[in-house]
Amino acid sequence: MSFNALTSSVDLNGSALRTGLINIKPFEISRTIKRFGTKFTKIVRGFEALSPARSFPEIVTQSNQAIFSLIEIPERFEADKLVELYTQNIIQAYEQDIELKESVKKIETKTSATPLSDFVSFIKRRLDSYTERNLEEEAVCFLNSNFPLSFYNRFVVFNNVYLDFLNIVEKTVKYYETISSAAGDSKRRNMYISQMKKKIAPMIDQIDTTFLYYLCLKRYIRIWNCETYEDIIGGQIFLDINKVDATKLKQLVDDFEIKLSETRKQILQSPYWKPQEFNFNEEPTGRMVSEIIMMS
Amino acid sequence: MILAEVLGERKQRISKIKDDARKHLITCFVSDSVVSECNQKIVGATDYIGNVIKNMIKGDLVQVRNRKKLPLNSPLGKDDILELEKSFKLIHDSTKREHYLTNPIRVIEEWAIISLDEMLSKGVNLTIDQFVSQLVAKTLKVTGQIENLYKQLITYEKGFITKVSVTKDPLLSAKIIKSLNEIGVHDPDSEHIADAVYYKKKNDAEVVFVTFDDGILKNKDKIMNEFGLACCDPLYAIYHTSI
Repeated sequence: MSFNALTSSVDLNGSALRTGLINIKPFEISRTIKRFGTKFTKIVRGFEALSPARSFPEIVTQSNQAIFSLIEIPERFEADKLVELYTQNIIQAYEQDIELKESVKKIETKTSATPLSDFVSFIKRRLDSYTERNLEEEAVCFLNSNFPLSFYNRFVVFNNVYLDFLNIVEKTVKYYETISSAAGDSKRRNMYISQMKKKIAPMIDQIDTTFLYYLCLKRYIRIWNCETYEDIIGGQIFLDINKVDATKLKQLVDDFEIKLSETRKQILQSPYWKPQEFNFNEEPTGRMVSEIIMMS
Repeated sequence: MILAEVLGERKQRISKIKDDARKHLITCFVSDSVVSECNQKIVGATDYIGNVIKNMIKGDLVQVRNRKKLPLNSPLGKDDILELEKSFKLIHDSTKREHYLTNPIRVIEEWAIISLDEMLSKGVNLTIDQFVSQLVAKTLKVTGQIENLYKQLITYEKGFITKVSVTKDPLLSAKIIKSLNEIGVHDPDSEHIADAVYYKKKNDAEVVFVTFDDGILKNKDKIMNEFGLACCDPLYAIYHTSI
């Protein structure tokens, strides 16, 4: 699948994560079935959407409304129209993303014994597989702009932090899913699932806020470099640092960095966090960057 | 030393101080001025590499193609490498004349040419844009990891380091920095040493300033005589304490 200028690969995954993990509740139905003349009680366990559920389009609309209330937009554009444009685009991408839609749906149908952790693993695998492409997208943006490379590096760092976050969520969900499936009665099962939600909801809130500031920063730059709505929807454009207000840009960068830092702190405090080991000297680019840093 | 730890450089020497600190319960502090200098080094190196790729490598390849009236989207080949050889030579010659450090450019030159050679050897057809995008993407992959590791180490002290904010007396601090400048230790090193000297005085603590920086190490005797502060390579830190 491919994304256009409006939709990044984390756009969909972020909102889908909330839809898939927080907006659900467990259910249990007992059915009496007759087999070979004997009556059996079959217990069907699963997850259903919370009522009234916040749908994917609702979440996306709210997020876009928040973004365009946080950033200043040029007079040539209207905030409501921008919200509509971005929302439509993300929903369209979601509708076309059969793989993701199916994955969210699977949580509500009993096709796996571990639907919640399967879903997080799926999101993680997806984001992981997009890493190379994200890097190339940031590289192309850098080459078509006069922003310094370190400016784009913060988006790569966000992507790394997002993957760390998904690792922690995956392990947390797995733990609660295991103990809840071993629970004898539905009361205890409900209790474990609400404990899980209590644990991961602040994490999802935190990453969502950080993601919101990430999008604010990206959209602020793009919008101030576009003349028409068609430009916004269109492909690659030259991003000129002189077209954005330096003070407002700095403010957005600072807000994003603060949120990113809070997210990192939350991740590092988790008992599931494990430090990653890198040996930069093992491959040519790592060696080159290390040498330049040590020389400076 | 902080950056060496993040980058996995001089592992043996850093392991030695880590082990010593653990064994003797010594706290390893890092000051705000060091944190700020490390940040600047990572950002500076990232931007420097980005500029060389965009303005020099891409800029020159495009310029030559335009001059020779060759299409920009035809695949790169041996001729382009020879053009880059000329461009890099011009830079080396000019920087030599102006007494600038030529090494960073040479490091990027080696990496870029070897990367291009590897792709050509594999039979990969690449345009200029595709080649430079790959160079930038490879760089971002590494700089993103480095920044993440650095933030984990410094901001959240996930390692052997504890961050300390030294609230300084501006007058005394300025006096220490002035004396350091007089003995040949300049900014930002003078600020790092001033923090250590100030911390030592204020807390009446035993302090050893550990660094790989030659600018500081070559003045270590003068610093000791003037401020009573031991400066050394991490390998020898423990032997400068009363333990």
